[in-house]
Amino acid sequence: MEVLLFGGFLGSGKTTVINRLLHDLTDQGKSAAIVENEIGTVGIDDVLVAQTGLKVTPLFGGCVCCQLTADLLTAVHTIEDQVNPDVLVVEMTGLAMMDGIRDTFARYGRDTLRLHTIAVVDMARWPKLIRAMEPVVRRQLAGADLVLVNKTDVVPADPEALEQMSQLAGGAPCRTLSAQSMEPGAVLTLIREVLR
Amino acid sequence: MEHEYHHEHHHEHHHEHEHGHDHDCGHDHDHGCACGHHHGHSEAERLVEDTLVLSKSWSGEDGQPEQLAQKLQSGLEALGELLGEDGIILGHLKGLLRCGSACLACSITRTDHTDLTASPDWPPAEPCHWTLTVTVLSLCHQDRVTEETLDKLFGGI
Repeated sequence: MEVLLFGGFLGSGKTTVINRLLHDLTDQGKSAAIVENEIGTVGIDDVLVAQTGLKVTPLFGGCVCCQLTADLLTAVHTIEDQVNPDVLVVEMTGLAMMDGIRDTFARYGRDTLRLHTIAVVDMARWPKLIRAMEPVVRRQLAGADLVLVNKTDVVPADPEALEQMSQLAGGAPCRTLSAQSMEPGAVLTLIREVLR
Repeated sequence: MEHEYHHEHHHEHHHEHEHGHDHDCGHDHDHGCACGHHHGHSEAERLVEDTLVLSKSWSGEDGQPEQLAQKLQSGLEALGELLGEDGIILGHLKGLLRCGSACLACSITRTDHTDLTASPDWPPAEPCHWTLTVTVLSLCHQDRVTEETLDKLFGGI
């Protein structure tokens, strides 16, 4: 089972990217499932994703990089056993650290899982975020297989920023997009090109 | 109008209750806290620990969708003015309005822009049973917004 783990700072556009991806997957006849981890006790993101018609497994009450690690793995393994979709999408909270989750999957995840980690970055807030939240951003990019630089319709991505992001992500490729206005199929194509 | 006041929120350090007796959070550190473990937190974890997390819902009957939508948007924008730093929200302000089967989502990460996403069946034609949910997540100016702030902005609908 392919597992796409989405991380990235609060409000970076993870849910929007995931919604587009889910539409693309189902348009191509692929089966998909999703696990939503959200901060706060009342869900919003899971409702938005459920608009796609897919069944959403929500994880509330904490962050999967720490408090709910076991819950996340249990959910992933259960979905593999009971549903076995072509693709399982996991949306982490905007405060989750990618490197910790990746280590957890490496240590405790089944060999049948093919994990890809995708960090979504908000280009419109990047200069401010990297100045004010550099330790957090660094941990969120570390361990990413792919960096999606979102909201480039608001602020175009400059080469210096892209290089900085790629370095923080250990040399992972960076691809720009504007998730809100992508053509059907474009998000899936973009991800597939990089994560073969 | 009878209001069903559903109050759920999580307003405390993000890190609270994060570590139990038996856990492996994947971080390389010592542990120390009330549970008997000793913690040594990274700088990233310290920043995240102080996240303001507020999540609250209100609901009622016979709601007017457009009025409720305006309330949601104006309330979140007011929160944005309180929490913004040079026009940037170091966090995320989001709200969801459900009216019957239709829903409208509102998201703010910059004070100069509000994202609205509506379901295909929005707005519903008739007054409806409604639920309004607001989530405030901020790593900056955490002392400027409290539960009382949310009540003033969104209560009394």
